[in-house]
Amino acid sequence: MLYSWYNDNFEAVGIVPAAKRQKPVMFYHGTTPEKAAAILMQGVDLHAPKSHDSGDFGNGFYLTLDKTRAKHMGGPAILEVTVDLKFFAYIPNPYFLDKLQQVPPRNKVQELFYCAAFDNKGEMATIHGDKAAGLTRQQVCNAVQSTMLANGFKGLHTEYHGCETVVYDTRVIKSIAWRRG
Amino acid sequence: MAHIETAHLKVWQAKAKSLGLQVTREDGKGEDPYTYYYAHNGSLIYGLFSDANGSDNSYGVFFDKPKQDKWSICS
Repeated sequence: MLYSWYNDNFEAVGIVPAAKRQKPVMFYHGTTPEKAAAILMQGVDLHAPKSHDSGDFGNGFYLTLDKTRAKHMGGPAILEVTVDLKFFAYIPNPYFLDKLQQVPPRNKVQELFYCAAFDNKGEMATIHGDKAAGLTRQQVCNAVQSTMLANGFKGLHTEYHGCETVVYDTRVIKSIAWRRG
Repeated sequence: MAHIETAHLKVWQAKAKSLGLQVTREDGKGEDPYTYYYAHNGSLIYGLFSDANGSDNSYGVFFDKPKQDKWSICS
């Protein structure tokens, strides 16, 4: 079973802390009322055009614990999305910055994400694209999603921007609700 | 709002009532001038009617709770 041999050392190896793996966690997703209705009728479409941008952490469905940020980034309709984080990668700082100085990846999971999301100059290709490789931003984001899925990670959980979290496989979504206010 | 949209809205409102839901109107803010009508049970939203700024693109939908990994329209 994946991860079982390093369950007690999550932070060092890049899996979600035990407290967040025990039961599904509720996040917020901000969007327009029309898109909220479409999600509730048809489910999450990971390939639907994004309202903001492709996403810095790869192609997927973006969530946060910060309701205000969800509204600011996506729109006034706030969906409550419950997600099982058991098979998520955990990278507290996927920008690999400390006081604007770049820091190297510190474990295998971070290396995996770093190699897919950054170009050979150390710049984040999910934001700028990878000119040397001839890849657009969207192509890099798709590659990040594919790489993480191929290595058994259904999403990425961070400590950035209200624990911004991206879902790479919609099967981890346990419920979606649209609440007034 | 044109006559056809008013008719659509009345049908949608009748459906909301038959489902035991309340309807609340909300006017879009800022760059979004649309008017939305939400069908809800006081807590969760189960339907949306968008007047699409009074155009012919107005529409109303209802949805149910997620069923496994699929969501269904209940109208």
